[in-house]
Amino acid sequence: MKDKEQSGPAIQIQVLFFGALAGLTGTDRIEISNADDTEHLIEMLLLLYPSLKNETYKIALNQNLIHQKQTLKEGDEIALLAPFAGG
Amino acid sequence: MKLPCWPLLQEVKPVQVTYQGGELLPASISIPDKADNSMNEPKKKIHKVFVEGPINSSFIAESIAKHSSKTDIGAHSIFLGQVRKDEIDGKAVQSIVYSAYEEMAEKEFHRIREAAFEKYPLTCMHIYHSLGRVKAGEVSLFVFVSAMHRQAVFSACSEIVEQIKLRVPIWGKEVLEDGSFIWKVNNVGQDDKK
Repeated sequence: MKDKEQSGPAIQIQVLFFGALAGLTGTDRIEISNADDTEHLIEMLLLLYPSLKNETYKIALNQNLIHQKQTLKEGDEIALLAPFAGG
Repeated sequence: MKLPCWPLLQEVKPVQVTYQGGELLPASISIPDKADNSMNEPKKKIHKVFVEGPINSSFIAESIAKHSSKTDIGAHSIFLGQVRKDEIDGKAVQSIVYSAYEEMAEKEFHRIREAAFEKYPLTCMHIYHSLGRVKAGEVSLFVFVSAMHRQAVFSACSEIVEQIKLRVPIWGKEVLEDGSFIWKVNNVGQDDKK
């Protein structure tokens, strides 16, 4: 039933920033609309936060790391993860 | 008899065990203990990994003591990650403030745990990691692996620690003596740059 939203209202994507990236963006969470896929979303983020360009990060979609472009849907959670430092 | 460990519930005895067919059997019925019986084992108990603040030595000692009733264990291996007082630009690290993407971290810990049980004949495994402030000299990571024999625990413990550093979304702010901070970065696969 959700399919009818494809070209309808803008989908909202939660974007989370972790580690150094939260300091750089000045927030740990924003909402982005109208991003169709992860590549598009990153482009939008780079416009908002140009200094992200110089950062190293991994991308997680709904808590799983992704390594290539993924289509986004309403309710998805994207996280930009600075290099890990556990232990 | 391979039952999961109950690290935080020492006095609580499992009353029922879910057997493979989904039928509930009382715990007193012994499940065949065969080396090749791993598929029939009860699901390993999942416990919370993150603890607020440092992992203190009494907690570690209690964790060890809780295993004395598990007499099929012949070997434990323990890794403790301690916050090191590094010097950065002439300023000493006073503490590390840890944060995590908790929902994802729990998933990754679960995967690491399942993979280790799959690969090694372990009896039990416990992982604890700090969140929040841990001062230099205090412990922020506690990995505790037990099995019948030493080879499995040495290998598994080392592998688990490497996997945690590589895969689990945890960050640490190294707070320096003048109050400034820098973000710690792990050097996976090289020396243990805690």
